[in-house]
Amino acid sequence: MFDLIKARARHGYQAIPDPLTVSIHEKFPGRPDLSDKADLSELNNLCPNSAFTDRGLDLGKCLFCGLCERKHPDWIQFNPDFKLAVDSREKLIIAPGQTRMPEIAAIGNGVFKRSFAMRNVSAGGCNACELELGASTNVNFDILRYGVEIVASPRHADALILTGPISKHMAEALCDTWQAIPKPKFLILCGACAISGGIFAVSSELDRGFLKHWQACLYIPGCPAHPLSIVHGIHQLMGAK
Amino acid sequence: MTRNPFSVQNPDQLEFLEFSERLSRLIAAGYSPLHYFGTPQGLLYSIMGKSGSLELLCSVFPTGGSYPAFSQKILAFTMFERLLYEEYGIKPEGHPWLKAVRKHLPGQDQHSDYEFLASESPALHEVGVGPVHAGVIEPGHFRFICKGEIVEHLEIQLGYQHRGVEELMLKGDITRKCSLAESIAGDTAIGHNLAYCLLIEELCGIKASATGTRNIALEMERVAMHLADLSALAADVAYIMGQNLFAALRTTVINSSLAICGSRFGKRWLCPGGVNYSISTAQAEVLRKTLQGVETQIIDCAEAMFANSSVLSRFDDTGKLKFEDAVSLGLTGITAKASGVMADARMDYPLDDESIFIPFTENAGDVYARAHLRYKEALQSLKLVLSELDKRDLDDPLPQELGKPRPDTIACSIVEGWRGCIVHMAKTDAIGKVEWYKIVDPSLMNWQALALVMRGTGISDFPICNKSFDLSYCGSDL
Amino acid sequence: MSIGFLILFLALIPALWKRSGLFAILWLLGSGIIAFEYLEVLYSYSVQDFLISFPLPLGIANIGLNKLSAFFGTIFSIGLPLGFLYGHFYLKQHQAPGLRSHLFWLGILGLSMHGILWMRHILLFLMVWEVMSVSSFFLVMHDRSVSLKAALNYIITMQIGAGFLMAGFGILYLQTGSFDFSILSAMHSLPLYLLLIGFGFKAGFVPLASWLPQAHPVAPAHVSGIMSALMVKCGLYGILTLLAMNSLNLREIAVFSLISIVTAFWGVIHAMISTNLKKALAYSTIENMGIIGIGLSVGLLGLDSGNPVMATLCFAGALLHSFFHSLFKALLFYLSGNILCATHSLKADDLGGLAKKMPRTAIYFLIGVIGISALPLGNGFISELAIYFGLFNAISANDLPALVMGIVLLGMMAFVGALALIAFAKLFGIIFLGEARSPKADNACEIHRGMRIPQFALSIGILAGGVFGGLGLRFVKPVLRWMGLYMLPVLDLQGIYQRLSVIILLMLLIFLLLYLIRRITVKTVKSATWGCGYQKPAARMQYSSLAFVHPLSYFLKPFILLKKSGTSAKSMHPKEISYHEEALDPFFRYIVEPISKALAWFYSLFSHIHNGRTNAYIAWCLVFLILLLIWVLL
Repeated sequence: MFDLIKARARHGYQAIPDPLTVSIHEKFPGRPDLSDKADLSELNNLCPNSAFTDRGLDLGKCLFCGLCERKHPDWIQFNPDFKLAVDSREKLIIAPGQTRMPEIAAIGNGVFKRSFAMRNVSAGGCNACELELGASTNVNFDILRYGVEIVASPRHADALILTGPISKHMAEALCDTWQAIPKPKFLILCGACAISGGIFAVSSELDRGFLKHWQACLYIPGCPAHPLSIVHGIHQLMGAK
Repeated sequence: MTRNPFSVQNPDQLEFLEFSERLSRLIAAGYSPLHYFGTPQGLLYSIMGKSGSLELLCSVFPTGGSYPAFSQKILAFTMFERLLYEEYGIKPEGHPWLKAVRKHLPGQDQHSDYEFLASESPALHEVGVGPVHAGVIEPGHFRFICKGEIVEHLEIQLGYQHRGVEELMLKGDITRKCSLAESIAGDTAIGHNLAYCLLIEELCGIKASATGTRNIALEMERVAMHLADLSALAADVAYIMGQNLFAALRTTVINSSLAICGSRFGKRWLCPGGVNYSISTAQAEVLRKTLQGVETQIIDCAEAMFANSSVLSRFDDTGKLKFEDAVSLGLTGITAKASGVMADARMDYPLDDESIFIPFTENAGDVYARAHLRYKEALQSLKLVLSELDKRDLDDPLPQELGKPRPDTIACSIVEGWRGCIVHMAKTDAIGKVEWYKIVDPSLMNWQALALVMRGTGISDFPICNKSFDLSYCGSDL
Repeated sequence: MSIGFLILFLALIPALWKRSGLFAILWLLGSGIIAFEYLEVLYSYSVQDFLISFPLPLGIANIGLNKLSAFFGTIFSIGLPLGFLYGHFYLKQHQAPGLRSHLFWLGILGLSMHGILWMRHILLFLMVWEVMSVSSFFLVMHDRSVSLKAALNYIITMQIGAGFLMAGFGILYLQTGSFDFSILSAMHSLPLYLLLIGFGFKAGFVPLASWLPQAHPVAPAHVSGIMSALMVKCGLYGILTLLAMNSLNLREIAVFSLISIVTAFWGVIHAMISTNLKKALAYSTIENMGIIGIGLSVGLLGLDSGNPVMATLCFAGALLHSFFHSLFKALLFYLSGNILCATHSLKADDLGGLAKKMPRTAIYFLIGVIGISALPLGNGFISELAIYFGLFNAISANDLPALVMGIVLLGMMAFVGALALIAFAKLFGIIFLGEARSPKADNACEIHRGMRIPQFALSIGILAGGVFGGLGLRFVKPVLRWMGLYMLPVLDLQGIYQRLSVIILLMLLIFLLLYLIRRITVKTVKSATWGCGYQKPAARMQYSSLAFVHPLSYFLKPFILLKKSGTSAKSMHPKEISYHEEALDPFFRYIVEPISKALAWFYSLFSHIHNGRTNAYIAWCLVFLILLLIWVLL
């Protein structure tokens, strides 16, 4: 038992005191600063996922691979700002000169201020987003402190948090899970694959019809989405203090 | 000893009968298949390996669309022959378990048409779990045949994560597929990306720079994922101390990855030709201090955990995998090493000629052996990283220029990912465009081990058996 | 009384004309009249006592009722007509040859059961007892294809039991020279033991109860119900009569309690692992007899050790339980008849999902389960509560034997109660909940309304007995007074039951209110059961009976004789996996079967005598006559 106490003492305090205001390492590719001088079509040719549109960089397709930043550091720089989540698909497009992400509108009129239950469906992802989602409940990030939990049964859930691009074989299971969640229910898309199909968007093995029927209320970009992005996004969505 | 990665120009296309005979001789000599597959061009390839030497055989499809199954000789062929039948309809006669792997068999319509082994006895009942599982975990369907609480038989159906990675590799420029390679299995981003980069470098005929940094990346991924597994195993036996300690240590390790390349999973770190982000002297110093602290704490916590009687009572003798089964099924990685099989790609197929690597093994083959082996391997990897930090030159050069892939070349790269042996193979056509790209994640074979060890175990031990293997659903499904 | 019995005799006429409806109605009428008269004997000072003079050797026979007979008589008058009513509808669904004789024997059985209560003369008693055994034998044999072996086993066992009774009564006659029941008081041990064993055969105490799980499942549902709920009470009546007129010493009480514990335990663990519904119910009858036996033994201990409170409480509980058991066991057996009609199968592992197809049967079954598992709201709770109070009293007494016995019996009874709950939760869950496991269950639909009438009546009885415990107690009071027990604890028990009634009614009211409020205010949405997203769920993916009890039966392995067979997964890729287990009755297997085999072998030695040729038989007769002649001359 004493070796256990020694291990615990040496380990120290691991929880991040305030995950909403902590500063992340400077190397982390968060919100990009897109210069007005940037040639968007040139950047698009460079991008492995063609994430640049004529309006800017679509964070929903961006894999945060850093190729554009390494090749053209004066056109685009990624800041260590993990607050990337938004509440609609259009707001994910970062225009040149944009310096901050738009606010997230809270849902449910304050009903979810202190408690929010999510059911995760992993629909064909690479497991990185699932690991990051799982990490958001660990001792460091501890999303549970805001009353957010990831539940085992969709019947207990308020929202479905989708990770993965929705492979054909998971499409029906995803629909079944969504149907099993009682109203009021919300859809959260976590990661580039969930938002846009990610690197798999052009694959013939996907079936993203589900997203044509149902509108998501939170989009958390990233490849994978960082636990701090997840914590921040959901915290804002709940309307928590 | 064959080089790793290796390439071959225009291998001989044998007649199927001769192919079959040579394959049988290799099997008799103790070779085991690293991959065996068909291509849209109507050719069969098999790459057989045994302690460092590799043999590549090529043949045309057998006439009549069927042949006597190689699985009857060694079971290591079972998954590959099932895939061959599923993709190209070539029937292995006498295959002991001819079922779909990722999609559905030629006679069926859908993925959900998979037929499970069922029992006629009303006393036995079935438990079906998934695809949507209770935790944040990838999808798969597990069908147990249970006698009360004891599992008589487990059958696993995967394919829910099938995204068509091998087809996506062929779209566009093959040298710009790092992001795709990293997403084969996101927790093995460096393992698969390294295999991909080595393959591309071999196809282009160049030697990469910054091999030391690449090794550091690979070993850090191994440490991080072994810590994740130890944390999850501790959580499953309600050893909360271990769960939290190991999880926090993993965060420390992967944050060190983030400090170098910007990604906790090591995505965007490697590229064909070298690395995108090198480790400066200052970064090396910080990394060294961090990892030394992590090493001490891992030893503290793991020793406490493995001395705890409640943990041991759950781990000991649970989910035993026999040595003979591990060998006959061709398993790799922790799954095999914990049952006494001395097989590790770092030893069998080293990337450079100087290093001698001796992997650790355990003999019991139970959950304890796999957990303890992860602990030992994590410490071994940390030592490797620290020694690599000591001997490396400062600041890696920029990635080497690639050039164009050589035409008519088959290349193969083998990397020991943290789960086991990763194999990437590709072939270029006459103009240097890639004709096919084949990937084997160690999970493809290792899932059979889980099905085997659950027999005779209580169904409530399934979570720790599953976590003790911690296999990739998406790596197997591609 | 004579009018009632006259009607019952007249009911034999429509029976012989196959008019089962009229038969049932006449029984309802007659039993109603008789019940009134029984109750009158029970509650008032009116006496039914006749002396009838029969030719020798019977002599003057005393035929009459005492309070105990009246008590059981009331139970029979409630149970028999409901059973015959059910039988009328059931036999319509299950046409089989021999309806005429079946109805005739039903009537005879009913009459003989009432008759046993009246006979105070040993020889008449034995005659009516035999009539009861024989008539029930013919009833069990109704469907000859399945029941022949079990029925023969049954009648032979009953004859052995009757043999013990005759031996016991014979010794008493030799000692006293009288046939009257008054000789039963203050007996010596040998005739007492013989008589107790003889009645024990009928009542279903282990090791004498091997016939029960064989005979009850193969009999038609209404016969099983009557036999299990009412006929075993005849054995109990005999035991109670003996106990009322004799006192047992401490060692005998200990043996009796040991037998009761073993009976209860034995019955319940076999009920738990049975997959055949009727077999489980039959074993449950054995268990309930054990519980009654526990109550009786502690009551006797109270009388022996001078603790009257304990005696009263336990006897009250035992008597209550005999009454209540007749209600819920009959209900459950009739419901098993429903299930057999609808699905043609009694194997729980063939059924499933019947609650959706047969909702009323499901509700009645649930009420029956509540009763039999002694859950509050059911009447079993009331009776077992009284026994528990008696046991608590035993523990707080200053007497060491009482303390030891109290602790042991309390623990065992609680354990048995828990196992009973498991057994019935399993049966209800596997049969009614989930999905149909076979096409048989899939095609079921609710049965004819007529079959549900007696079940409705019994359910109301169970619930009424459960909610208004005081009613049951009032029914039992006269018998307790007749036995000479101290009556003050009854008042306390009455008070407890009254408070319990109030609490239960209050909770029911609150529940009803909440249910109505929720029903009105909240709109429910029905959707498919969550199945993890799997697209092809199968009926096999749900618990089987074995799965439900397997973890517990692991601990009970030493007590169960299991015959297992099957193939398990040996190779990496198995072709077949199967498992089958069956519980065997060790008494039958290791005692009865070897003896029958030995007897068969012994008789086979004489097979050359028994060769079927008439001239050989004449020759043997001649030989015998010659031998006789020689013996006379010598």
